[in-house]
Amino acid sequence: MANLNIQDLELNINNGQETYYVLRGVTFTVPPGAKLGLVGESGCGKSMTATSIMRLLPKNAIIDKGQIMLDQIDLIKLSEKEMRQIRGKRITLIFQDAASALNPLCSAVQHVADVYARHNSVSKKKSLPRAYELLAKTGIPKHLANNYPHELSGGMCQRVMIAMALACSPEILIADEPTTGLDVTIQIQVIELIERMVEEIGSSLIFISHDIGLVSEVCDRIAVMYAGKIVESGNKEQIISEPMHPYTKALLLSFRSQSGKRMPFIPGRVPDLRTRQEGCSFAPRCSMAESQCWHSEPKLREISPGHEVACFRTG
Amino acid sequence: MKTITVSTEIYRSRYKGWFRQLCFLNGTWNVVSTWIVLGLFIALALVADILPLQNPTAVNASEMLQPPSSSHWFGTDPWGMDVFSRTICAIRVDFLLAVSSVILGILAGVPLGAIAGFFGGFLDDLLTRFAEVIQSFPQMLFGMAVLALLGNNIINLIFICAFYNIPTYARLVRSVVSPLREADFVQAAKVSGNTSLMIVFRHLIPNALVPVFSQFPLSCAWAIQIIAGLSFIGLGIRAPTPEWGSMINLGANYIVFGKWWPSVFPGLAIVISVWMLSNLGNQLKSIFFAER
Repeated sequence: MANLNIQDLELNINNGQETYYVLRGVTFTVPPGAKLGLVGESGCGKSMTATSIMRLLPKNAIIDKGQIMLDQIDLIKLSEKEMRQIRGKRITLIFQDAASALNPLCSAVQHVADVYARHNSVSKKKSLPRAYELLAKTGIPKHLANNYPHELSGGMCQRVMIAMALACSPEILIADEPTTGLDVTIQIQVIELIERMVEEIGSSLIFISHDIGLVSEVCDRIAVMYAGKIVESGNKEQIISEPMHPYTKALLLSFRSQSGKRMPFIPGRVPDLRTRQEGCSFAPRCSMAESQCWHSEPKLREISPGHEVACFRTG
Repeated sequence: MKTITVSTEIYRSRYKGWFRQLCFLNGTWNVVSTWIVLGLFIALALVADILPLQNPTAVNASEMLQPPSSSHWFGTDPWGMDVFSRTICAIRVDFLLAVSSVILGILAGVPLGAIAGFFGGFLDDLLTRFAEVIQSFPQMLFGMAVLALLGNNIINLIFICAFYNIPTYARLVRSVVSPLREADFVQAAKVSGNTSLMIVFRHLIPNALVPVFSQFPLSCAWAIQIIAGLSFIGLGIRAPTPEWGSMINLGANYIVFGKWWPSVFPGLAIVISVWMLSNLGNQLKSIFFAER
C-alpha cells in the first residue's frame, strides 16, 4: 500500500487576464490505510487538490511549486503515459456529480468493465462477469446493471462510480464530495458503502467535504483548508474536541449550533484568490488577529503529537 | 362557486416509440407522407431490375420525342429512350452516388471534427480555418475544375461530393464535442486510465452521432443536386446511363418546341426526392432539439 505525501503544492490558474492563486502551499500526508478528511468552505481549493493529484487539471492551470509523492514517484513529473498507468489503478477519484460523470451512452456494466479491462489487459467481454460482481457488491443487482445512466437514480449512479473506482483495487481513493445532490438517507448508504469497500480492499481514503460532521464520522484524520492552504490538521478527536485554529473553531461552532438560536457564522468571506495578501489569509475574518498576523505568514507547526496548526495565536 | 377545468391534451397516435415522437413533433401527415414517398423511391430503386420496365438505355430512332402515351407513360426522349423507365432506373444511380459520397464524407469528417474539438488549440484553429476555406469556395466551380483536371468519371464525382461533406460534418461534430471536452464523464474516463484517442472514439463520437444522423438526409439532398447539376452540364454521368441531370440536359433543347416531357419528369423526380430528404432531415433535427 502506498504513502501519499503532498509538499508545499502551489497552483495558479490564468484565465488570460488574471491569475488566480488557487493553492498556496498545501502540505499533507496520507499514510497507507489512513482515512483523511479535507474540509473547508467552497472555493478554498479542496477539489483542485484532488484534481492535481489525479493530474486532471485544466490546460490553463500551472503547478508552480511543490511535489506530490506517491511512495517514491513524483506525480507532477510523470509523463501523461505514465500517469495513465496510475490513474484508476493506483489512485482513483469519485466525482461530485455521479450522474454526469457517466457516459450517457454506456450502460452501468460497460463502465465498470471498461476500467477493469483497461488495467488488467483482458478483453472487455472477459471482464463482464467481474463487472457484474463488482456492481452486485456495491448494491446494483444484475437486472439493473445493463441500464443506462439516465435510467438510474443519483444514488445508483454513485454506486456505479464506486464500483468503477474499486474495479482495480486502488491504493488511494479520493472521494470528492461524493454525496452532494443525494438526499440524506441515500447519503448515509453511499458513505457506508465507501467505508465498507475501502476497508475491504484496504486502500487509503481522501474524503473531501464541506461538512465537518460527516467527515468526522468517516475519517480518522482531518485537515482543514482555508484559501488554498491547510490551516490545521490532526486526529479526528483533536480537531473536534480541541480545535486550535480560529477558523476550525468557527467552523465547528457553526456546525454545532443549536436549533432555535440564530446560527453563528463566520463574518466576511473567503479572500479574493487573485491577490496574494501578506500575512495570515484568515486575519481579516479573525477575531483574534493582531499586528503580527497581518504581516507575516504563519507556518504549520506541531503543537501536540500529530496535531498541526498554522496560527500565531494558539499553542 | 368557480370551477376550474384543466384540460390535459394527450397526444394520440397509433404509432409507437420514436416514430410516434417524430409524428408528435412534426405532424403525422407530414411524417407519414415523407416516409411513404421516400420508401417508395427506395423500393423502386431496389426492384427496378425485376419490374417489367422497358430497357432504359435502348436507343430507338423511330420513336423520338413521343408524347406520353399508354406505351410510354412519360413519353420518349430525343434518342427514343423511354423516359419512365429511365426516371425509375435513375433513382438507383442518384441515390447510390449521393449516399455513398455522404457516407465517405462522414467517415472522414466526423473523426477530424472530434479530434479538433477535443484537442482544441492550434489543431482546432487549423482545421476550422481549412474547413471554412473549402466551404467558401463555390462547389459547382470546384467540381467542374476537378473533373476537368482528373478525368470525368463516377469515382471522381463521388470524391468531389464527399470532399465537400467533410467540412460540414467536421464542424458539426466539433461543435458538439468541444463543450463535452470538460464534461465530467470525459474526466471520469481519464480517471479510468483511457488515452485521449480512446476517449474521442469511444466516448465523444457516439455522443455526437445524433446531429450527424439528422444532417445525413440533408446532405444527401444536397449531393443529389450537385450530382444532377454536374451531369446537367455534361460532367459526371453521361447520357445513355440513366441519371436525372443528364436526362434534363437531353430534353432541354426541345422544351421551346413544346416537347416538355423528357425534362420535366426527371426534374420532378429531383424536386420530390430533394424535398422529401430535406423534410426527413428537418424531422430528425426536431428530435435532436427536443432532447436538449
